Amino acid sequence: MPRRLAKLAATLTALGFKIEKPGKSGHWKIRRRDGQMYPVPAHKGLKSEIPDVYIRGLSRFSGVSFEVLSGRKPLTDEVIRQAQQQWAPK
Amino acid sequence: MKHGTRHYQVWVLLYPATDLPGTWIAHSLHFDVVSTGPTPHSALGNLHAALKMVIQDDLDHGLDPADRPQAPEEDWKRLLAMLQHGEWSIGHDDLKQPPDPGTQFATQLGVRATEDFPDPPKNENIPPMLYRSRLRPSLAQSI
Repeated sequence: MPRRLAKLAATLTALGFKIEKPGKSGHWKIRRRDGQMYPVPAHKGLKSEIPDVYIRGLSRFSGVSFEVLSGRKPLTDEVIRQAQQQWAPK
Repeated sequence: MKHGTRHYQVWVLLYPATDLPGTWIAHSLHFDVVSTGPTPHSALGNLHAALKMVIQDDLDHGLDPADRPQAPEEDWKRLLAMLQHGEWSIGHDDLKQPPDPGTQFATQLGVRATEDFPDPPKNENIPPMLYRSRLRPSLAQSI
């Protein structure tokens, strides 16, 4: 089940990731603590529907489980603490 | 400042999204980057833009794009199966037509990015050959 970028961005922000709005290309950027970036194909802005395949790729990049990113599992304090320690920007 | 160009040739899988009807997924197995589009052709174009952004961003931040993880093994097996059992076609014209249901594509995509190299330190006492050996530690040890 796809997830709206607005909800995905809210989850990632809560986990401490840095979200950058798109420039010319229409891709949003999610940045880890080490500076590496992952592009989000969101050509309809925050209303864009993000497919599961993409969320799985983002899960591998961020180290956050697919269930949490896709909204199937709620964000717990433990998940937030782990993500902030591992990858979130300083 | 000197400039150089990096060129990457990446394998891409193109298939319809199962959870979003009318959306095509373009998945770069190198770099594990995904993009989408309403047609295979537009998804591939969006992926090209995303890959260029990723590689350029890594280079601008002093990171090596080659250090990025690749897609999981099952995606590489899927590519291998398509290469072994699929039909070959030349060019990207197939991607512009509405494909038959169940069709998937595997293709290669070339991405270029420019890289800036800092100027070497200006020290007139160091002859050019010695400076070159400093750049290559293995060579410097053998002298």
